[in-house]
Amino acid sequence: MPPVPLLELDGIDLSFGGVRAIANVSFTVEKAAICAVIGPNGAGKSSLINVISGLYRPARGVIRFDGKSYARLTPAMASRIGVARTFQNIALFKAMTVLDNIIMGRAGKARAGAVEDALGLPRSRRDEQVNREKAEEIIEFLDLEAIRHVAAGTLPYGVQKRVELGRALIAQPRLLLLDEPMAGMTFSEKREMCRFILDANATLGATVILIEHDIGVVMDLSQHIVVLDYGEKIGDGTPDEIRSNRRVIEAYLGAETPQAA
Amino acid sequence: MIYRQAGFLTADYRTERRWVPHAVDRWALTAFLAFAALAVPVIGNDYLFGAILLPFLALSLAAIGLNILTGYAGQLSLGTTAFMAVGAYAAYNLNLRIPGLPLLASIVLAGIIAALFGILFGLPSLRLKGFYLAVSTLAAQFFVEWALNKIGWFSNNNSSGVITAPPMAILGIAVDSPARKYLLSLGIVAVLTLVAIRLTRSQTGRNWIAIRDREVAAASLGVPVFRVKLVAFAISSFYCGIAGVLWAFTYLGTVEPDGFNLSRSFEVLFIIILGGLGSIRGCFLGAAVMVVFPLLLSRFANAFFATALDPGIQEDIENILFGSLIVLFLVKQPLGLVRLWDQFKRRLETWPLSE
Repeated sequence: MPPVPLLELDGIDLSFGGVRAIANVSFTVEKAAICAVIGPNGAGKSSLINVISGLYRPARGVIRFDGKSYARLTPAMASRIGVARTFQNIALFKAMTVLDNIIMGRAGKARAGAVEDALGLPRSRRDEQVNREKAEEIIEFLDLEAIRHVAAGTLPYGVQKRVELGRALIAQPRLLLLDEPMAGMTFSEKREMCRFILDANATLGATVILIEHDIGVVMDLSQHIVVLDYGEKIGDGTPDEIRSNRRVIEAYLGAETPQAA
Repeated sequence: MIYRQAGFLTADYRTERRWVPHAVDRWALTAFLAFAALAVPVIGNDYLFGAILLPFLALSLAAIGLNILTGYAGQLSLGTTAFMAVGAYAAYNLNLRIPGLPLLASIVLAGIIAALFGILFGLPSLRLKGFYLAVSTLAAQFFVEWALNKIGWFSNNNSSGVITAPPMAILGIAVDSPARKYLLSLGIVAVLTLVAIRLTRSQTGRNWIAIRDREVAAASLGVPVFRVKLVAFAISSFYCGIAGVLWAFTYLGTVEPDGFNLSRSFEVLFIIILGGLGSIRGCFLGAAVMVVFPLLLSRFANAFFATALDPGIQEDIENILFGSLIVLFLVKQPLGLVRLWDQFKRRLETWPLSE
């Protein structure tokens, strides 16, 4: 029997008003894989991520996570079953420090309630201690030591992206959704981010789904690529298969040698 | 330099998480609190207590309440004094109808009743945001004023809804003089301030800031957004309710429903804008300005214009100046007095280097 895939999307449909953002999309992501979702602007990539993280409710279709089926997923449920994400337009808490932003990634795991927090009871103190230790591991992992007490909103763009990755990683997610983690970055920032993604995948064991426009990065990072166009899946396979897929070349890659893009 | 940054490296998380990191500041704060608790009751006169310190403490507490809801959790409320009124009238009725109930117990219960009321009026926050939510909190304001005027039971059938503070005592010691009322207020405000600081620095506080800054991101991190909002409403109203008790029992002594009208809600909102949204210290700075500013202004007017200035005109001038101050702060320093204070301290820390 083949191992259970971590994520199976089965016939996902999503519309806004009359516009069909995702049309009958199905694909499977194996455990510990890095899967890229590519496609032109407006193809429904971010919508797909929003469906998997519970922010959008699909009109039809089933999400199977580690063998369990979910017809409707809320953000809280998604976070509980081990899905964490970053956003296309960085969604950090601007007034909080880097440290507090990263600790927020553990918000769903807090055991103490407001009354315990108010009175500083043992459970609240223990939460703080554990939060801080875990956050420090992430800070070290992502090389953020020097700026841990800096307000996130004041940091440069590339660094904010890294902090957002840290906030997702601290929850020890089984599935990490990255919505354009390298958009707008310089070459060296991209290389750094690639290294962090590979490390998160290899050492923290997170399965990764990422949206990315830099085809070079996509081909190098991922074992599995899904191509969307106008909400439909037009390609699904290994980088080599995608490179020679005629429909993908017509709709997105646009050239016989995609690396030239 | 006593303030030099390089001297304040920390070796463990406990020291790092100190509320007041600099030892000098800790001494200064301790000395200030000791002065407020030990020296002020002895050297202060009735004017200082009655006109400055008692309203200052009550307004500071109300400001902490509103700041938790609006400054931290980002839920704009215009119903602050409704919750104050609920607290004041609840404490009055608890005292009246449950003989032998200790004063502090009735104050805490009044806070809890205000909190329940706050949860009720927080329910619209499930669907409403920003301006629309603010309008729905106005409903609380008008509803409470109406109910206290129309339903005689709340004021023990007083014809104009007026309540008078009962004789107060703690452990047999009568709280009758202004100095003793001041000590009662100071004690309550000090304890509740400590609790508020704890809250805002814990996960509860981070959740509030998170739903204020990015609600969607907070939700996808597993923050129970609606529950966090309701908790903010409850705790905020608890604080406002107890502030209302202090306002009625220690400051005014006798209060009518109209004493808790909309303009008082705006006053508290101005306090947190002036002092600093999302800051507990700011509540005290803002309340100090709110209480002292009109007094200074009338002194000033008396000194320069003697009786030439009509009191009505003087009040108008006061409003105009205060309004300008609010606008100035919103434009120039939206983070309030506390931000100015922090900038000043940073200068001391980094001196002689620029930032």
